[in-house]
This record gives sequence, C-alpha cells and structure tokens, in this order.
Amino acid sequence: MSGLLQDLRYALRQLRKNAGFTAVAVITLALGIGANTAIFTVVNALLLKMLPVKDPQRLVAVGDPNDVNGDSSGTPQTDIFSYPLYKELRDRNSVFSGLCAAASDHHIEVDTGEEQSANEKVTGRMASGNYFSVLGIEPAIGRLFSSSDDTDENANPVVVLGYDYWQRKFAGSPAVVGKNIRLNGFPFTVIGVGAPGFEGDVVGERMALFVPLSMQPEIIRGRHWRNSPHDSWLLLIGRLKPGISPVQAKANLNLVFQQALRGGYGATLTADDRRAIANGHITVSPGGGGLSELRGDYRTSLLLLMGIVGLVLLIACVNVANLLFARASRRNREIAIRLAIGANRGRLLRQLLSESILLALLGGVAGSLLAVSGVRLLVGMFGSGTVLPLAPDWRVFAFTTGVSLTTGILFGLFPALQTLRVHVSPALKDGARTTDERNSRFGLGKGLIAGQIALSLLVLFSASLLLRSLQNLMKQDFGYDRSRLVIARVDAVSAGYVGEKMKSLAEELVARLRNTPGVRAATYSKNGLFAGSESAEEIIVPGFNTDNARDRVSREDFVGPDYFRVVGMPIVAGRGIEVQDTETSARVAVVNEAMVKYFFAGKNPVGRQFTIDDPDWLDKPITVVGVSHDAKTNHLREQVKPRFYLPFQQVPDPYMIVLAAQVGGSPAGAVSNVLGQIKATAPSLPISFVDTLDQLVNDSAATPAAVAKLSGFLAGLALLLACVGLYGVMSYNIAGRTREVGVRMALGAQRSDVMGMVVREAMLLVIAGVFLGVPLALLGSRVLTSFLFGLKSTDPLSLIMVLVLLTLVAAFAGFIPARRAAKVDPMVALRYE
Amino acid sequence: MTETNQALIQITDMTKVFYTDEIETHALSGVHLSVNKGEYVAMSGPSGCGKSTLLSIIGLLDTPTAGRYFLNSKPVENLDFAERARIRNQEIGFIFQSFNLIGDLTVYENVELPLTYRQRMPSVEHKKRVMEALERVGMAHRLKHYPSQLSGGQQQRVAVARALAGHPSILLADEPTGNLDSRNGEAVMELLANLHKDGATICMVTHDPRFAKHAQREIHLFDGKVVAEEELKKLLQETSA
Repeated sequence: MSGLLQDLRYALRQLRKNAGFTAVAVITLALGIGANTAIFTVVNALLLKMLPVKDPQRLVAVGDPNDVNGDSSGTPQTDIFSYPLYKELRDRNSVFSGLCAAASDHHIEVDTGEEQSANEKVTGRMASGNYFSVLGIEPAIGRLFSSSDDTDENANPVVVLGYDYWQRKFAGSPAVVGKNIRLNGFPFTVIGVGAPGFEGDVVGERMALFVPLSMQPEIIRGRHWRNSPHDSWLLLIGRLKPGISPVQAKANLNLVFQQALRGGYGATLTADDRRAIANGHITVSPGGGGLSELRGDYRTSLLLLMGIVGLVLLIACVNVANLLFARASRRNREIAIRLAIGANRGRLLRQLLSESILLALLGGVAGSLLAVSGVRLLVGMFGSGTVLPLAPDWRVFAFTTGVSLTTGILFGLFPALQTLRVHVSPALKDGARTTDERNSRFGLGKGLIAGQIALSLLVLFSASLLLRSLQNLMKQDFGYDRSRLVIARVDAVSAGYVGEKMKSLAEELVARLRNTPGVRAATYSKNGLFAGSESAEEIIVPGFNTDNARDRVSREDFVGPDYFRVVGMPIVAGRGIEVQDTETSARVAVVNEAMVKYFFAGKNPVGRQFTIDDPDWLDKPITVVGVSHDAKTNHLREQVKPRFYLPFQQVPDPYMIVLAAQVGGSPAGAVSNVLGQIKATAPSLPISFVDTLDQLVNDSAATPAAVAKLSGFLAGLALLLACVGLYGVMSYNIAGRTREVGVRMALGAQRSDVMGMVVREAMLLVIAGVFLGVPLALLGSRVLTSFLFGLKSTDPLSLIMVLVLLTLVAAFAGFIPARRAAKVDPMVALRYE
Repeated sequence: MTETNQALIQITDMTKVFYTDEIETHALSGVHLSVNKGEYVAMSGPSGCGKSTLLSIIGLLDTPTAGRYFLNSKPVENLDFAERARIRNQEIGFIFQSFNLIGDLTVYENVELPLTYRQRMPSVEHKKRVMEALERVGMAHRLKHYPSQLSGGQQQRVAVARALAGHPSILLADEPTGNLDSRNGEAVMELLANLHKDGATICMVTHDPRFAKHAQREIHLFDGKVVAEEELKKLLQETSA
C-alpha cells in the first residue's frame, strides 16, 4: 500500500514537472471522456434509469411504451387502449397484482384562485384510481387518490399535485391540501402531493398534477373517451405477481383479450372492428424505466452517437499514447538508473501505469465538467419542453470512472512496456537512444497514427453521410411551396364547436385571415401539413379488388375551398376543391397521384367514383373531380401514400381545424398577426400552435438534424485529435532527427527537399490510414443505413469529400513540422549530439 | 592572380564572431588560407582553437563574419542558403567524426543520398556512381545492410563513399577517426591517403599528430589564428605554464 502511495506521489510530481505534457494529455482525454460521459448521461436518463417507485423491476409496460401521446378514434387498437378494454384486462388477468392506466394532457390550464397568480398551462396525468398503489408511491402530504376516487364520469374532481409543482407554485405549503383550484375552468380539490422525486411514469415529461381518469371529459374538453370502446388513448403499467415473468404476463393478457373479444367487450364493437383487431397482439415489455416517447425516437440515435463518441475516445487514447511514447524515449536514463539500483520491471510497470491512470482520472474529472455543458447541448435536441432526470447517479459515476481507468490502461500500457525495454548499460553511459534508430521512423507511434486516421475516416464518413442525408431530407420535393405558409391548429371541439358550428368557425377564421396584413390567401383543412394529425378510411373502388380490408385503406383530409392553390399543391388533372363544393352539392374528391397509381391503375380517375366503407358514407358515392401532385404531409421520410381530399363542408363532423395562410413577406413575421386574428375571432378557442410551415418541418426533422449536427461536431473533434496526433508524432519524430536533417542539408538538400521529405512521410501515414480506413468506413457505415435518406451507406461523393478534407487537414498538420525541419541550421544540427 | 587560379580554396582575412548573451566570441581572427587542387591538408590545434568553425565555413555550412572566400575562384562568402546548398551538393564531400549515416537507410541509399538532391541525374548514373564509390572503400558487398549492422570502421568507410559519390572538388573530413579504435582509424587514414593519391583534394581536421602526418601540409590553429608549428608549441607551453 505504501508502495502504491509512493507511486502516486511520484506520478503527481512527474505530471507537475511536465506541466505542458500534462495539460495537453488532460485536455485531450477530457474531450474524449467528456463527450462519452455527456452522451452516457442522456442514455442513462432515457434508457437505463428506473422510476423512483417501489420495486421498479417488477413493473411492465403493456402496449407500446413509446406511444405516450397517441390517441386513435375508430377501429380499436392493441398498442394503446380504450378504457373498456383496459377494464377487461385489469379485471380478468391473473398475472398482475395491479394494472393501472394513464394518459397525459399538455394543455391543462390551472387557476389557483390567487389574484396575483396568472393562469398557466401545465402537463398533467389522467390516471386510473389504482395508479399510485400499483406504482407504490406514498404521498408527501395529504393523500393520493385511489379506486374509490375514480368512479363515474366527472364524479371525482380531486387532484394530486406533483412534488416539484407544489414546491414551485405553492412554495411547499401544507395548506394546499383541501384547497380548491380550477383545471380548464372546472373546480378540483387538492387532496395531496406526490412523493419527492416522483414526476410521473413518463420519462421526459414532468407531471405537475394527477387527476382520476373519470375526470377526462373536463381535462380534454369536448371528448368523451372514457367509456368509448372506439377511442384508444391509454397506456398501461402492471405490477407482476411474484414468480410471474413478462412472457407469462403477455400470454395471459392476450388470452384475456381474446376472451374479452368473444364476450361483453366484443359485443360493443362492430363485426368489422372485431375482425380488424382479432389478430392484434398485446405486447408486454419491462416498465421499471417508465414510458417514453423520446425513448422510441432517440434510442437508436443515442446508441449511434455512443458508438461515435467511443471512437473519438479511442482516437484521444492514441494521441495520449503517442505523447507517452515520445516521453518514454526521454526517460531512458531515469528508467535505466532505477533498473540499475534493483527495481524489477513489474514494479516499474506499476509506477508508469500509475502515472497514466492518474492522468486518465484527471482527464475524467475535467471531462465530467465538460460533460455538464455537453449534456445541456444534447438535451436541446429533444426540444425545450423536455425534462430528463439528468442528475448524475451511480451509473454515470461508474461509467466515467470505468472509462477513465480503462482509458488509462489502454493508452498507458504499451508506452510503459516500451519504456521498460531500455538497455541499461548504454543508457547509463551517455543517455543516448539505445533502441534501434529505425524505430524512430517506422515505430509503433506511426502505426498508431495510421490507425487513428483510419478511425477518424470512419467517424468523418459517418458524419458526412448523416449530414448529406439531412440535406437530402430537407431539400426533397415536398410537393408544395413550404416557404410562404403559416400553419395554425385550433382545438375547436374542446371549445364546444362541433358539426355545423365548426364549419362556420372555419369559414369565419379564414375570412378574418384573408384580411390580415401580409396574408395573401388562407384556407383550412382537418389534418393539414405537418400539423401532427392524420386519418384514414377503408374505401371501395369499383374495379379494385382485394380480400384484405387493410389493403383498401387510403389516407384522407377534409379541405376548404382553394386549399390546393393556397398551399401551392399543383392540380395535375381536373380541378381542386372549390366554393361550390358545399354540404348540399354532389360528393366530390381530389385524389393524389399515389392513389391514382394504386387504386386506379394509373389511369385518369376524373369522373370515376369510390365509396368510404362506413355506414354513414356507403350511400354517398364520391366522384373524383381532380388529381393533385403527391405531397409530404407529416413525415419527411414517408413514402407518399394514397390520399383523397374531401370538401370540409361535406363532412358531418370534421373534428379539427388546421388553418393555412399564404403570406407575402416573411412567414415568421406573420405568425403573430395570424395568432392575433384567431384570438380576435374566437377568444375562448384553444390554439394548439401557430407557426411557419418551415419551422414545423424543421421540428419534424429535429432528431436527424441533431444526430447529424452532433456527429458532425464529433467528426470535427476526431479530425482535430487525429491531426494533433499526426502533428505531434511528426514534430517529435523530426525533433529526434535534427542531426539527420543537418546531414541531409550538409549533403546539399534544399529547404524544399527537407519539407518535401517530412510532408511525404506525413502523407504516407495518411495513405496508410486511408487504406485501413476506407474498408473500415464502408463496413462501419452499414449501421447507418436506417438513418440515411436519398443516399446509400457507400455513397462515393461523401467518401471523396471526406478523403479530400482529411488529406488537406493532414497535409496541413504535416506541413507545420516540415516547415520547422526546413529551418534547421545544419551547423547546429551537426553539433546536436 | 596566378596563385588564385591554382588554388581551390582561397581564404583572406577571415573572421568569425559568435554572439551569445552580449558576449562576443572570436572563433576565427584574420585567417588566411589557401588550398590547391590535389592537395591534402590537415588542420590541427587544441580544442576550441577554431578548427571545426573553419571547416564549417570552408564547407559552406556557416558564413564568415568578415573576409573573403573563393572556392574554385568563385566568391562564396555571401551566397544565400539555396546556392550554398547547391555548391555543397556538387563541390564538397563531408566526412564526419560520428559518421552521420541515416539509420533507416541502407548502405546503398546512404551513399546515394547526395545524388538524390541533384536535378536530372538518371538513376543509371546514380547506381554507377554509388557502386563505384562503395567499391573504392571496399563496402560494395554490404549494399543492403543498415548502419546499425556495421562496425564503426565500416560505417566510416560508407560515409567516405557517400562523400565520394557526388564527385566533389574537395573532401572535408572533421576528425574522421575520432570515433574509431586505432586499427580502424589507421584503415580510414589509409583510405584517405589512397584517395589523395588518386587526385582528391582533402582538408582534414584532426587533433591527433599521428594522423596529421598523413597529410602533405599541416596548418596549425590557435585561438582562431593560423600559426606556425614552432609558434604553436611555444603558445601551448605558455598556456600550460
């Protein structure tokens, strides 16, 4: 133990003595370890951390745990659940000690009744009565709601506050229990506060409050989902009974589901619905980490970034190993003395490794500090409303320590072994280098640099592919001009606008918008462009035959007059939806090119008819009056699917209004005008958002953009590290060859000859690295296939760009020591030794 | 003028001053020297007398502070770096005390090195000259060896071959036996003597009187000045007293 302490003391002294070396090594390691820690912190928060609940490993998620904010009307689903189906599963299963259900709402307006306090919109969780008992949460104060608080619709106006919200909004006052507050204008009584640290079961969303599911109609106004078997909106979490595995749970739930379909639950569905979900499977997955939409969106991206930062760390390790190699040759005499006085090589190896591990730990500490800022940058990619549990825990600490120790051994071992290869006698005589001089030019250090360049090439190529893919994604043909549009979505239903009232509201809003300064034209629709909603119907097209009802599904939208002209979507045949397409006129539709190709065998469908396979529509054949150009509507990567557009005014209950305003000047500048007009038209109308279409498109590309930009940054870091490594090795190499340079000059070499020699040697390393790196990059980039758009993982242009960049930067890194070598005075050089 | 035409090296009133931390060190003071074509001259003197400085200036590795220097009748004291490098490459062959062979080049490549810095010399000519030089020093059988695989004497013979390969006007040898044992030292001196017999002009720095005797003429330096042999003995006695 005292020997180890002595080694550490000596190591500290050595690092202090060589402050320049220590600083460069620590900064290099800090960049590598910091990047890894930052990404791991987010990976930990999103993928690994358990909910702060009782025995989280016994919890399972039932359904798709990523579809946290999904809701679906129509055919029942089995990845999210209706309340009646939840009840069936809850009451009939034999595998859970409890099965709870919950759904979120992000726009709950809270009025605390305090005069000075402005109403604010918060995110809350509507949860089944057994929610807290299943999760095993205790109240901080008051009580939590239970099954007796979750009975009939709107019968239980009680609310439990989140601990953090209670602290922030009510200053942690116990007097809040019993207080009446209004949620969306409806009075609720605060009955308690959740446990500290518990922010709900959704990772990435901090719940301000929890209300019983029975209060859904007051939280999501205008919808009565709670008892409807056709509205799927809940995700479930179950607590496994002792001895039950998730696989057994899944088998049991699917059995219960099939029984329910044949029983009372099935009787509430139409035959078509029963048929549609008969083959549905309920999935069960580990639920201790909570539910998360972000997890599904970012899991593979984060793992990809983790791989890239791992490579960056490896490159950093090579750099430090090279620094240590360089230092090793200067320590021959010291090591020879130690060996001469009786130190054994094992003891010396421990001493040298102590230095490298200490260096790595210092890098780890500095890296952790860098990681704090890095994490902030990373979280930015999830959007401003995201709240992740990012406080470092034992996993982050263990990861950083583990990475630091591994790094220390990785970069320290080989230089240490090299140092111990010293020949004692000659080293003691004159301190001259006793290793074969040929090593100085073709040694391990240069081999490492070639490897480092190969790794950098892989990282650069990956980043280049991702960036070019992003560029393709954003520059693709959307099928309309997105640069001049402002989009607004309003929740008319929750404000009481249904049926004819909603149609009149849409007309009124558009009329006001048309008179807004800067707005050239306006229109409305149900789903619109990049507004986050979608709908589809099974249709019957004469001449199109299939046995499977799913093959007859087409997307749809209900659009107002002038829709195609306003959004800039070209009509390629016939006409668009016009003013004359009223509720009383003949049922008409515009179809897109994909629909023509799929349902009409590519033939002009104008004048042909189809029917929506729904009892309300079967007697209303729809005549195709036009064909529109294919357009991207919600997702950048989507293959445009068949779609028909019906006149908004011909649909009995359009359900939603999405406004589109075409502006003359800057769309960003018109956003506030549009917002003002909507508020002026209907002050009580909830506005989901008003934004430029460009911004909505950018938001939908947030993940690939963030991954591409981050990998670009990391590639820059890798390139910088590799070039610093190349520069360092060439500089050290040339410094050790001063006499050789002097000899060459004495023999008549010009300065340009010497520069050429050094640059050539540097470029040889680059070529060796490229030879290793190109196959590595082409193989490694295969994992990116699912991230790419409009190019292959072997894209030659990306590879050429990367090779040119790498060569130029490496040539520059080699040029600096070359210039220094050319300045060597032959007289001084020949006196050098 | 006649004398200048005969002389390969003509140095007049040469001074070399080194400045370090405001201290002036006069390495050479008013040196006059003439070396004729085909002559074998030894420069000797005690340590620090300026022998190596003078040899460096003769070899165009350094420039004088003052004075004139004609090489092959051409003034060379004020040439720029590139021109000096060109002349070094074509007119001067160096033999160093510590051989200064390049460790990761083979014997062949070391000897070829000065030729690689010449423009437009065909590789056939390279090979011919390298083989010729190596045969002259008796090292043609070690073409593919690396310096570390040779003895000190062999390394110095390769260094001599390198100096010869460029067909220089003059060979400059700085303590060529300094790192060799007496047997190998004698062998190298014999090699230089044979080269001289074949017409080479040699200028050698040595502090060993035994080796200086191989030269036709001995130049003595003391405190940066050329002195006569008798005067040198007197000065040395005064210094030791």
